[in-house]
Amino acid sequence: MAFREINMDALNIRDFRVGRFQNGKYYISLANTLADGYVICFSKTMNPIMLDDLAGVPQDFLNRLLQNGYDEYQLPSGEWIALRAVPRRAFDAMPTFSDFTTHPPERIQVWTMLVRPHMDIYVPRQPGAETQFLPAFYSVSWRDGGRDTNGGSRPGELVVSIAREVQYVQGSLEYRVGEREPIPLPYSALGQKLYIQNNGEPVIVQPAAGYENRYRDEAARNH
Amino acid sequence: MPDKSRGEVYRQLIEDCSRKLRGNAVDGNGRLISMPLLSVFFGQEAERNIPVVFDTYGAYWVDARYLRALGQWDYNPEEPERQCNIMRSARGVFQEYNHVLIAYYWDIMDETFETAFRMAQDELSFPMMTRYECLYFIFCKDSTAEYRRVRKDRLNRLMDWAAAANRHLLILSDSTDQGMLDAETYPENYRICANILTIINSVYYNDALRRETPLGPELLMNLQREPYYSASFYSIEKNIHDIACVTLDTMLTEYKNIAKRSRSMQNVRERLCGVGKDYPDLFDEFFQENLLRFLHADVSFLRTMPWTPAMEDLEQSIINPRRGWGRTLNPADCAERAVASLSGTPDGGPGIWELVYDRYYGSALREWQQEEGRTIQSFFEQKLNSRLSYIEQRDMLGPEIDVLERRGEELIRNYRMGDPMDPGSMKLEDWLDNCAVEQMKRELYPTLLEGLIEAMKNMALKSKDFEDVLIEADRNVPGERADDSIRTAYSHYAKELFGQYPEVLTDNIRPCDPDELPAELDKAFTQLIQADTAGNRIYTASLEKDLAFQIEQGGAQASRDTIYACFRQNLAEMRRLRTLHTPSDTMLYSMVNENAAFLNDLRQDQFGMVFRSARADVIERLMIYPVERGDIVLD
Repeated sequence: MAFREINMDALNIRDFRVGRFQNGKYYISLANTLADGYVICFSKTMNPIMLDDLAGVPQDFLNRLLQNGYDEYQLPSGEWIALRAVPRRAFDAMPTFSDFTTHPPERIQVWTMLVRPHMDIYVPRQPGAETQFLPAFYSVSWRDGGRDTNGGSRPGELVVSIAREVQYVQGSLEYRVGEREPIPLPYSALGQKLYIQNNGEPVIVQPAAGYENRYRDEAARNH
Repeated sequence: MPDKSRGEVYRQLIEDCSRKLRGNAVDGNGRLISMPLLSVFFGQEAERNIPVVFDTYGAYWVDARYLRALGQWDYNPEEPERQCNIMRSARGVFQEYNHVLIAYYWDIMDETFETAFRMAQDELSFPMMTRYECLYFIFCKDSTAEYRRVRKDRLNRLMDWAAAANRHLLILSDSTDQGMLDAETYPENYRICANILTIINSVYYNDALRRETPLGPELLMNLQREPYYSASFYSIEKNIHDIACVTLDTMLTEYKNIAKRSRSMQNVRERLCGVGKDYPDLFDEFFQENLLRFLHADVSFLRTMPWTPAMEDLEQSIINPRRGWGRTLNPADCAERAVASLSGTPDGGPGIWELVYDRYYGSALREWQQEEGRTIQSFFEQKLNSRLSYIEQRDMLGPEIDVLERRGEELIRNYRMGDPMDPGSMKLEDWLDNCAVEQMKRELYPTLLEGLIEAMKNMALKSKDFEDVLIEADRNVPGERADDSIRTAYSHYAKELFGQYPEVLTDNIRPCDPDELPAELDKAFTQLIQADTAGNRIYTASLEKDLAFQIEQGGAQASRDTIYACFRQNLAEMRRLRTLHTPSDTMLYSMVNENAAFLNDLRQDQFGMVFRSARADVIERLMIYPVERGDIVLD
């Protein structure tokens, strides 16, 4: 059993979608006629997992994965990825599969598994349609401070919140006042009231550069 | 490295410096190339002279880099077409693309002659629509009996073939009426042929601005009338070799003189940091020179950090420092408290201040190292070198390293940034910026101290034997053997320039290993030429102006006389092939700078056809003539 590079088009995952039920649980749907099963990879690394990253995965790890259906692996870079092995029949009853747990912000990659001639997992050379990033949602509350009795501007009140279980990277969310340089937010500032001198200029909360696909404004989810 | 190969290195240095002088002696626009020209080299000696040929092409043609060369071992009848196609794929370089020129530089004394002869007889494969012309430049030697025997046999066979196959040979030998060519002067034969090709293959203009006689087609046609030709050659050129030698020699002397002069009573610390100053001031210099530009000029974003009571105090301390009962708020103290109010705790992780600091201040050193590609140590080595002579580095750095290792840490620990220049005009964000910069310096200066000590240790070590390195360099740069007039003029001029721009020496030459000095001298030489180019332009002057400069500096030669003597030279005496009779039906060419004025004072029969170019370092005269087979002295 080994990771191999996809060598025929039929091994590519098609129509891969990640959705969310009303109860907040995530599901995936996909299409592939050839696969005997799938391996779902969950990662938080800056870049998608490539075949080269998996070169050192030992055989006994793969056997364990197949036996238990789930295992975690530490990449040479020190970061961890979680792998979930799913038989094809899991998709037979329902067009969607939701028996997994994810901790956004997290990337999901799905690879095809074939049983014959050997038990192999096929990874594309370049990540594409089989990769999706699940962003973590943050919410923003802003109350303008208005003017004081002398006509001066009073600080407004900003609260940026994120779900407790999200593994937040320090400074990956930031706010900016008007066109000024942004101020990065530490975890300790999330959920706290921050008083900001904005002098009537707009206050915008945004993911920092490099984290754009990891966080999304809760307000945007409903649109 | 043994001394002999170091001598080689210095010879190479002198050659490189000379080339810089030649490359820069340009006055006007380079010429364009008429058609693709493939230069084929048969024989080892010919291959060794490829640089001579391509240097000549490059000196006259702006686009010479598009031309191709082919050696004997890569040659087959299809290869010339392939090489020509590569040249023809360069658009806008040549005037004609369906006509190509193939020049064979053929050393017939080579042991591979038979192979080359077979190759030369092969028909080339070119498509019908492409016209190609072949020119054969034959190089032979007759300075020994064995050479003469080989030459006679091979030349006879070649001449038979040329007559039968309608080929045209231009034959040059190493024995002339003026004596034998030696290893140094023999490459001139290759230069002659490259010059002939330059005349043949240049674009000539006949428009409103320039009325030029197209010399190329006529010369090519004339070279295809008879089977055998030879040539005479005479040139005078700017003695760039001697100029380079004298300049390098003066460079070494002046470097040593500056070192001897710069002994001073000041201690090392004051020499490095300034009078009454200390090492943190030197570190401030590093900060100002290198890191300041990576910081944001507009720091108004700091004002948009969360508004805490301490921020409010800071604001009040600026607007209204006096508060009831005579209590005064000091903005510097308030700023520190504001920073503390935005900082994290050891247990709770970083606060907003740490993240803001890391993003906008903490990354400056990394960005500097990335942009400059250099280290802190190399920065301080340069500072040490520009402020202390190599003698001072040798004698004074050792004890100073001890002092710095003892008191350096304490110095850093007690460091506090001075008060702001104009505190009255500072806004809230400026005070916060001040705190960030101070924090940055406190974090950075221990690293700078380490870099400085390493730099001092390295320079102390290298300067220990540097005197010997300089003596060896002096021995390998034979400035004293240069022409008198050049020595007088250029040593004086170089000295003047070094007086004006001492940093050319102090920034580029630093105590180093013997193997490293030639590269440092090369850098200093390049910078000296740049300094000269910004002012008098003596180093890059044309031959004519260079001669005038030497006279002005008390040189013995009269410039016009030197130039006229060149044109008085009887070229028939400068033949490169011994023949029984003096040449007739000669084609006489002068290759001169396009702005040369002296031709007006000469008779046409003295200079013949004029090939004008941008090259200003040389005047070349060529005579090309047909020879009768029976007229060539073969024994």
